[in-house]
Amino acid sequence: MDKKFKDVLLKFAKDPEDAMNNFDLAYEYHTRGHTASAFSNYLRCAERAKEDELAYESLCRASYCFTSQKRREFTSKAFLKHAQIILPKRPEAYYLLGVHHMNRKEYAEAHVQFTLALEFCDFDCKPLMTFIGYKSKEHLLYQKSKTAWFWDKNHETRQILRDLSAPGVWEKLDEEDQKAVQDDINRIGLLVDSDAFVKYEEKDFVNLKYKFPDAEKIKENRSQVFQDMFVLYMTEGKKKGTYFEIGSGPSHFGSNTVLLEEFGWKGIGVESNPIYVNEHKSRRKNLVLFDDALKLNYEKILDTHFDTTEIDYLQLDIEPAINTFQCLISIPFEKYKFGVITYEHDDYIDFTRSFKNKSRRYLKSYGYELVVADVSPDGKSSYEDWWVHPDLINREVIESIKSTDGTINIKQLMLSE
Amino acid sequence: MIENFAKLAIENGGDITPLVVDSKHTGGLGLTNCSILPINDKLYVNLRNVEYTLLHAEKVKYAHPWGPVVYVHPEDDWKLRTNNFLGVINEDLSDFNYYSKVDTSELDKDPLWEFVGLEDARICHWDNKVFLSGVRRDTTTNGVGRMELSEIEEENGSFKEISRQRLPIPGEAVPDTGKSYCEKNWMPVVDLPYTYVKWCNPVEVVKYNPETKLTEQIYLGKNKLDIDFDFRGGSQVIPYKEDYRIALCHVTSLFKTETGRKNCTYRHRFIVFDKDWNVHGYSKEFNFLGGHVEFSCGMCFHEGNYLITFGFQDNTSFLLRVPETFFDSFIEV
Repeated sequence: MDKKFKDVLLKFAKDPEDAMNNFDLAYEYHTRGHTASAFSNYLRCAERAKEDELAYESLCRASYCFTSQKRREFTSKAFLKHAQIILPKRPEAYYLLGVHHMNRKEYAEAHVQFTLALEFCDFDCKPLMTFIGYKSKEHLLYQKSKTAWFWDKNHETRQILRDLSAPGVWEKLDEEDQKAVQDDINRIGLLVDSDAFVKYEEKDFVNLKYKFPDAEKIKENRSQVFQDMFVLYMTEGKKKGTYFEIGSGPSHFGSNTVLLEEFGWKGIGVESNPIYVNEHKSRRKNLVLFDDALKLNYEKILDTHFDTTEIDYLQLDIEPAINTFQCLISIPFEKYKFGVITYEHDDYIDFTRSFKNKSRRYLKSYGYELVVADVSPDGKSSYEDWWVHPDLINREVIESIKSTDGTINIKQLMLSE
Repeated sequence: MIENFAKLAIENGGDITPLVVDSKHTGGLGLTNCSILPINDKLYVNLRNVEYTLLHAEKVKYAHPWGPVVYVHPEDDWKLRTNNFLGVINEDLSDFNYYSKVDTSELDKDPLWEFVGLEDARICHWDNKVFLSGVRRDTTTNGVGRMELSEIEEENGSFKEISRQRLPIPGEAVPDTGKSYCEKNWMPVVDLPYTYVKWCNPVEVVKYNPETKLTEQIYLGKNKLDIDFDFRGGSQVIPYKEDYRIALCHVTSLFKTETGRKNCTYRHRFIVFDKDWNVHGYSKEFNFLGGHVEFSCGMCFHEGNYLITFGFQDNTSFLLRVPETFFDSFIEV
């Protein structure tokens, strides 16, 4: 038996009615895994404590003893409820009750606990003496995002994930939670519709704000958020244009270049997914290279496949944001000039909050002009910037659509009511 | 009423030690109602490991929804199981030198009732054999309790039950068939083989015969003490001074809360018998550490000290060393 344990026991033995003596002895037993012994003294502490905070912490820890013993959830929860009653504005008991329910897949009950905590608790209250599992308001909020999801409140989940990824909040999550949030966002997306498509169809022509030659002939587009329509508008419905597409994706679904191909454009793409590459081979006219976009010599590729240094369209769309930026700075902008660039900065899930601005500074340094900034399908999830090179695009066209103030809801930008 | 006997003992040169085994063996569950006995220069200690956690909200401030005293079992298993850990503690009484869970597997049968295992076992050493003697209630479908005598064999620091005898009450030919429903807390008399103080007021002493497997009443006091409490069995009965024997008994108070929920307190008294089993006297009532549920199954005299092992709230075990001088002054008999 170590000296500390012995000292704590002697102190307790001399005054077993002292609340703190009970707490200290309970803690010694607890750290050694003797949860039954620990429980007795936590409960004695709570019943003798003059300070509510001490009683509260003891009851939370008493509950935790039963949690450790397993299959005693009813009792464990009872002590958390005692704690809640003592200090209903402290968050720990709500959190622990919520976790209890989560572990039993009682997501609705868990959700209620997390919601009540977030609504009523004072998150600036003095921390407890010991760690009891509760980390932070942000961690609690993250747990709520999970219970919301399992209770089919998917919109709420996404809203919470969006809130958690916002500057000022993100930094308050620890590394483990940051990774968890990022994984969740990557898995379910931040958009209500995971496809997050804003499609254009022939019937929309009358409402199309930015018309171009032969736009009326388009049955439907393929891009996620009008990128193909934007490129054609900026190039004034150009036939037989050229493109270079980094991150081609599927041959049709979400492709920015299918429609261009239908307008007679030539170009090449780069894609690392062999399934998509094969799909392109069988369903598309233009070439897609099967390669890792981060390892390519872009000057060599462009030199090989284009007989001009002025290319009408460059798409940069690989994930995550850092990779897209790495591609961007690998493009030989000194030698090649692109009429239109759609650049996916994924700012809404870029937790470094850096790559959008880096890309903007970089493209501006090469004379590109930001025409539509912070494109999103919902007015919230900014993930792309659209650029032009003013040497290659008509100034009047640029000015007609220019929209760089705040996150753009693409449907509102491109279509009238 | 002495609320804190342990404090007095410590202030008078005594000491207190937690009795624990590694929690990986117990799942963190209670180690309680411990016993102690010196055998051949070694101090043997038995710890009762219970597969429940006693919840006792002594001040009824933070009670369980079912009341202030609740045995918290796994919610899908309400059996009250007991295992025993037997071992030898070191000379400075600070820790076990070695211990093991008592292996009962060869003699165990499928339990027929909710309380499973040998409860509140006292260590005895009779006829050069080591025994654990406690109550077992799993042999009938209605929980009849009888004292049992389990012979323990030690081999390479491990302990194994090698025989098990169920003690009938006096006049009972076969255990469990007599009128008494539950016999427990018989106090083994360490210097009289197979002899127990079965009850203290009036004093009833019984002796078990391992050959005939019958129990005989060998003493029944004629006079009952005029007291308003019961002496219930606790530790072994050990020699005291030249002409006496002494035991530690518990005194229970069972009552209900205002809302009709069960509650209780356990207190203690030493009781002193003369060689003819008359009650020579008894001590003031006391608690060890102010716990409302404390229970002792063990007491011995060792190197100028009385060593008392007791359970606290059914969840914790302590060894209290009480110097002889202070002990005698406390007994006052």
